[in-house]
Amino acid sequence: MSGVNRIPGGLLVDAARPVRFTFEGRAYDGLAGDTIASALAANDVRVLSRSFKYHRPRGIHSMAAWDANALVQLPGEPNVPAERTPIVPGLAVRGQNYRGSLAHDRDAWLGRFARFMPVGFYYRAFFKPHGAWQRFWEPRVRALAGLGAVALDAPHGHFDKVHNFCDVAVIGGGRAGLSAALAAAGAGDQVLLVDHNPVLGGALNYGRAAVERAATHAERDRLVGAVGGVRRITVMTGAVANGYFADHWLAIIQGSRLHRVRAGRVVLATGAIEQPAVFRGNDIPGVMLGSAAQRLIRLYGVRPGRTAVVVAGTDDGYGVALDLLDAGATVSAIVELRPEPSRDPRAVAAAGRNIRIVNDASIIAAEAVDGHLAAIAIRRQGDNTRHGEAIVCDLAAVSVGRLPAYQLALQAGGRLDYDDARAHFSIAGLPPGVTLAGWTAGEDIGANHPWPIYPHPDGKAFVDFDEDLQIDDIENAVAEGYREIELVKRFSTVGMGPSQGRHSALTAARLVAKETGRRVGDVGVTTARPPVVGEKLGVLAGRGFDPERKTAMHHRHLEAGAQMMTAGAWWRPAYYGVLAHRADAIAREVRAVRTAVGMIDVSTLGGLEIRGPDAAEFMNRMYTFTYTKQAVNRLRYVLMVNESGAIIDDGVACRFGDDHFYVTTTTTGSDRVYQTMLWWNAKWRLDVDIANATAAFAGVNIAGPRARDVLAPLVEGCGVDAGAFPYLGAFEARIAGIPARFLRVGFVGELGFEVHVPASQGEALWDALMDTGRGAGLVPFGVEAQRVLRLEKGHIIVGQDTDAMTTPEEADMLWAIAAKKPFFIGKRALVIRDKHLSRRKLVGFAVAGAPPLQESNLVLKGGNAVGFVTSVAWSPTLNRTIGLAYAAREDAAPDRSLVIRLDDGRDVRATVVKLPFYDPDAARQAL
Amino acid sequence: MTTIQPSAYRIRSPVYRRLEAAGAVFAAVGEAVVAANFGDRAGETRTARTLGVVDLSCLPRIGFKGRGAVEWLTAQHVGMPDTPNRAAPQADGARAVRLSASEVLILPDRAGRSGLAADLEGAWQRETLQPRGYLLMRADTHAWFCVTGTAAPAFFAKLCAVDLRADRFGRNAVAQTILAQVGAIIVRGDVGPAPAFDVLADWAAADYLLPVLIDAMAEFGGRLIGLDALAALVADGGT
Amino acid sequence: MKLLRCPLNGPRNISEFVCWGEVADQPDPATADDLAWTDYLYFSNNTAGVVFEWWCHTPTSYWFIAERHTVSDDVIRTYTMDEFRAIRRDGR
Repeated sequence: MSGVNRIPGGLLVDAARPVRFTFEGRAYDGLAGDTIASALAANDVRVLSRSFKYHRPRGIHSMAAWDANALVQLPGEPNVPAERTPIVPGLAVRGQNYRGSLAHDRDAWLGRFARFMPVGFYYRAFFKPHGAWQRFWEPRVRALAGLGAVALDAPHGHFDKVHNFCDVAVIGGGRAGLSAALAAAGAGDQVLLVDHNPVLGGALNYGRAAVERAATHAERDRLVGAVGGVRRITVMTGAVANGYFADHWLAIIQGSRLHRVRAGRVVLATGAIEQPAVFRGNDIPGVMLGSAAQRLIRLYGVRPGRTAVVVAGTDDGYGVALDLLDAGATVSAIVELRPEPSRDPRAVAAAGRNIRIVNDASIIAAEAVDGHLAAIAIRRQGDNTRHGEAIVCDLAAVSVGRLPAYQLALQAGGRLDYDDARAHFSIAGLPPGVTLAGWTAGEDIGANHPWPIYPHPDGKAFVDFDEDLQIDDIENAVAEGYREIELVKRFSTVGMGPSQGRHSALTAARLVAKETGRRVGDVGVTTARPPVVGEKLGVLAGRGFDPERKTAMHHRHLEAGAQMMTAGAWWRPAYYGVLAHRADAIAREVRAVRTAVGMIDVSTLGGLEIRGPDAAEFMNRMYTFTYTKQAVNRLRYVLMVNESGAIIDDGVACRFGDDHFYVTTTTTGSDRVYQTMLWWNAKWRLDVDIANATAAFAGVNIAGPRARDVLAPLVEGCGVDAGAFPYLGAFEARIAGIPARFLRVGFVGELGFEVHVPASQGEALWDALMDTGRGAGLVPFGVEAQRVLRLEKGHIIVGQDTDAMTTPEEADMLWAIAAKKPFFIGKRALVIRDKHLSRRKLVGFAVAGAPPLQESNLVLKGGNAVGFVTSVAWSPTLNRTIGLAYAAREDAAPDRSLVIRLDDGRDVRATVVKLPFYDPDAARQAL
Repeated sequence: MTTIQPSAYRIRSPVYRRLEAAGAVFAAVGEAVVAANFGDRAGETRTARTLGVVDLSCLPRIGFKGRGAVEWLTAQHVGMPDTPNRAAPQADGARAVRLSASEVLILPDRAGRSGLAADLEGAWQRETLQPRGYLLMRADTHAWFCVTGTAAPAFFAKLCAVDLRADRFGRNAVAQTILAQVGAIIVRGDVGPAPAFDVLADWAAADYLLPVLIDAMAEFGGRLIGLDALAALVADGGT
Repeated sequence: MKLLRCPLNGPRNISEFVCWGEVADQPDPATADDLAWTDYLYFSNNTAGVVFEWWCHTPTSYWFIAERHTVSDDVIRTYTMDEFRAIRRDGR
């Protein structure tokens, strides 16, 4: 037997398949298809959690997971909606937000101190005495805060993402959604039909719109059957449309997968959300929405209570009463809140079944015993007694009206208008391509009870269950001066919990309207933003993409023991050796380059092909230097500044023909430089073609006095001696059978050749060079050694030694500016900036010893920061610490003294040194 | 008979180590080395109908771009699509993929038998007439993976925001978009009865992209397959 | 997620594009005074209305112009560079 309250006929459950699970350590039997909440209800377990602030016992309210009343804890997962989560064999469920046990929560005393915690009390409490917050209150509040518990060792779930496409997305698979899907498919559209529930049908599955069910069931069967037979309709059940975004983009979550759907148009048939009545004790387990009782009966085969009172503010209450009778419950009374008796056929049928109907009544309070409902006290019209009449019951089913499910519509730009006559909101102002259907559109939705709100002098009439806010709290917020609903929301937190206003927005609007003497429509509700229901961070993380770029020689670096580092998306070798001996490895590589020969992978540096009759003119405009007269088979430095005159990139330009320049960029700049060039030429329309060949070329730089020994045996079609291949030469030839471009550059200040080959042959090139170079002592060197080597030559690294403001003048690079050119990007700004030189200059410096200097350490003068260190390193070649720094302009002369503040607060003295530190005659690279 | 090892050749696929680790048996196609199979020809051919991926990165290909490129190619009797983002099959099985008003990519047939790319490159180098566009080293700017099978559109939907469903993205359609966060050119062709999608993406990101593709395929039972499986499909389907 | 119609590639998610801001006519650097040049570099109209903007489709590095209403975020039309030059010639 799967629960004392089990009755036959649950649409979703299989009576032949019991499922055993535990709640709070006790075992219970449910059925396959039960949710945690329905299985517990079948077993007469009423209390599922403790409320957020007052720790009041809470249970099923909507049976649709619209609020926080039925959030439970699973191992490794908090805040699980019990009303939507299926039970599986062995599932261990616990309640949340209690100390001790769910039944005897030791923090329930908080509820008795409610009057010390009025709305917004935390804005005024905990300030005094000074220090009391940190020492006393904060630890206690932290311990109390939050609902569920996060298990840090919970196993990782598997989440995924996928794109979906459709002509029409229909959100909601009730009568209106099914009809809309069929109509669209009939017109030839590809339709995606999405429903939150495990089966289609919506309220057709559990509502009682008529006295007899047969017609409703027939309609459901017809529509669901028709949809199943149409191939153009794709059905997603157990799926929630959680957000509407621009141009009909929907976030739909099904299980642990996020569907990112692009729809041609969207139909919102999301139904309506039944509203609570507000009276003292309306949160007691046993008080639930009429539709919740019907869901339990129809979907899960559970009798929601033994002795019921139906609170009817609308005609739907009578359908609920009939359902309760049919489920075997006693209906002690239908409390009709409206002045006139209902003439609806269901009301007639209820009367015909001898249910007592109390017309024109109001609610005084619900009473609890042991945490669940025991009686409802009502007042009939004309009854002036203090306590009214108490009706014994263990279930109060409330039907006072519905609110269209407006969340997605408002996300799409719609707004809510209020109809005073029917006491409900309607949605208007939707953009083209978004339409409403069914209850969401206000069709057949019936009138709401205009004021199902019954204040009580002893309070506890809840407006927002999630936030434990009572009628007093909303009224007090207005009394504090917060008259606008946006302010009431933020001051009181109404609507900010998991229910996001589903059950509180209408009541809050009504109360604020009354307190401020305005119409409900003028007060309105706060807007709705995604997500509609809570979504797991895992779903958002999902399948993530983190591109990495590797050079052709990547694996050879790993095999040679390189420590790799990232440069943008690229991996580059930092140095070859173990972490513990990093400094030694770098020093060894530097010495190898200075005394013998080393090889570094430079594939990541950009390679742009600038080709066409206007190539030289284009180069002249993009860069500061001049290229018109650059000879073929020669290379020149390129320096790029932006329109403000700040340095943004550098490299070299090789001229391989009158109309052909091959230009390198910095590693992280290549994409940006390419995009910038295209943008400028979109305006200039010079006859030039710009192509990004960065990935196409793998490249190495072979540097050191023995560089020729490595290359000569392998190079074909070109000599490598000084006569055939002078410094700054650039040739196309072959190496080890591979077509190659050769460049003589001087970045590290030794005899150096760069070799660029097609990427697919890069590893073969590396292998050939390492093999041939063995005899000459060739070792690979990494980025760290290269940074030391170039620093010894005083060469800047753009982005490290330059910042967003650095002009060529500040970096002593006026030599790279061809002042006679009529135009280059940034020239006009540099003319302006030359009239107001900055207060700083980039200088070289040296310090005695090896103090722990870091990049960004400040340069001080007279107690003020006048600059900062941009590069600093121990130089094995010079046997001292050297660096580059911005210093005060008046200190930018050799032998001047600088004060640099270390991280630990000490100051060190540095001496300005004329650049370069090493080989000032530049003889080594021109060998 | 010596086994073919990629590291004995100059031209190496950016993902050859992953192919080796998966048990590839390599074959030489001209100067290129391709994975012919992974030791299970029959199974790979079956898989190719549902979902498989082949590495074709070493097959020769070339691009032409800029003023005069399209006109010069047309003068070389290359069949040219009228509009960008379409491919035009050539007589020898190669394809001319038009990427913009003035940019074309020449892809060989998937067995690598077409010499069109090399012929056009040679003719372009010898040509003196201007303008005739400029060459692009498409065998080294991009890696080439071919994804085949009926589940391919559903698989791509996990990685790509463009609608590649069969009725929306037909034969010879081209999409230039972002796939798993890297830029990619996707060309729809067919291999016998199976749909096939040629993916060209950044050469340097190939070693990142291939495992991403294989992981996303797992849900559909997809896997790495060899060139032999493609050939078997073509033999079945007659294209 | 907004859709933008690229003149080369058709409608694509906005995540495939970057925007480089409003089209602004550069004054002649040879004749503009310092104030005019500084104004061109650093001040924009911040128009609440229809503007022309530079957009780039990043996978293809294709630059084009979008005509967009900055308040409604409605993209009225996109233009190839040739089309844009034509309407500029026509005085728009």
